[in-house]
Amino acid sequence: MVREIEKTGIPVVHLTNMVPVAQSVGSNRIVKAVAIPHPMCDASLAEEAQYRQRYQMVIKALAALSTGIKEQTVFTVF
Amino acid sequence: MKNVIMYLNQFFGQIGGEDKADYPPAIENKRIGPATALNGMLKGGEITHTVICGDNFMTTNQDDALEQVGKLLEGLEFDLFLTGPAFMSGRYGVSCAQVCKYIKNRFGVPVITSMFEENPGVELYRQELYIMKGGDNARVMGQDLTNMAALANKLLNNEPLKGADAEGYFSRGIIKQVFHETGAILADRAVDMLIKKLTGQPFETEVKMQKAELVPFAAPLTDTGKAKIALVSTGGIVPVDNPDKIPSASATRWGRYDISKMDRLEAGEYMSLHGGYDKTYANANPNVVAPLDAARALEREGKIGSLYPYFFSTTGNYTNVKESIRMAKEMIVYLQEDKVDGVIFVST
Repeated sequence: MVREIEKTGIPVVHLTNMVPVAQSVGSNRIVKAVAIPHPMCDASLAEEAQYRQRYQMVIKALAALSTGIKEQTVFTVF
Repeated sequence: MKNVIMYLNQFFGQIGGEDKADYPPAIENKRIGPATALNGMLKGGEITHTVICGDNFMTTNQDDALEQVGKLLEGLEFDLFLTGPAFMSGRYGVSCAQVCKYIKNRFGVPVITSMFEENPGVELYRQELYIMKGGDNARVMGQDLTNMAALANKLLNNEPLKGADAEGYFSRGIIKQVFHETGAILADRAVDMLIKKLTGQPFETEVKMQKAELVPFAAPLTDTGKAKIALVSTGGIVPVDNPDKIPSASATRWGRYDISKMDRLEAGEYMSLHGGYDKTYANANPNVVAPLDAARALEREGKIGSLYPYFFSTTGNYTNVKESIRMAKEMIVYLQEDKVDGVIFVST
């Protein structure tokens, strides 16, 4: 689905823990997420810390959308 | 009698379901689950041990998990290593294939796994190992085990293999030069094929070309503070009444949910119905999958020009490729009409 949207010229940043899968299906901008059942933050942390992680990841996602790339690129946050 | 070891995930290894997807690698010196049935089909080999590991543990901590599996096998004698079958389960398929690759490289024994053609494990690892062509769900376990056993027996008994199509595994992209079974020389066969092609008769190519689909890189956004950004997720996050009746697997439908007046997704209003991961965390706080709270804050701070008022959601679990493409095309109609500049796409 990421690939289909990107084909239309809209940049997509794919946040997922399973980076190799995202790469093999053609996602161009990938941010490695924390885990499968809770991609955006480590659920064992306190609420406030979890929120801060989500915030950081979305900031990274925005940075990825703003980055010119020449090949599939994985952006890491933590 | 040769020794065989089998790897299963937490479910087929009878440890538990999604709640045990973090189960670290363990080994039992007996046959568990499908290993019993498969053992009965082997000739000249016996499954002596079963290795079990949770799908989340193996895919999230890949290197560490593989090291641990390796340690469990140290000192054991085995001639063949089998994993799966994984059917359409993405995490399990990827785990099965990566474990096979690791075992093959570290211990030098042949490895076999099995999964459905749309399993992401196939494209990632088909060139490196024997991945048997499997069915898309556990109803065909018997057939998939039979097929694995057929190849296993050939390897155990040193019988020559006849290539991917004949043996029933996904082509590894290896081109082998052989003499044609009819003895006809290349030049004659090529001219024959050309004549057929020119006169519109059916013919069969001898070498299939794989077309790789390149996705062009969409241009980056110059300033996200001026951009309209949409939030999309395949984590199965929906309103608790599931008005669009999105299923927990094999989704052919998706939903558009008005988030324009929301600062975050609230537990009790939104939930996860994805059948492929432990929903406890998402149900307690849906923002851990669809980060509306963080996105909204960034919009307030001017780092996002505007958050698209609709959150697009479906379930990425056993999703058929054709359906995924169709759903994406439907989403695109809205994204283009409403001039969305960029998409944050979260998968579980």
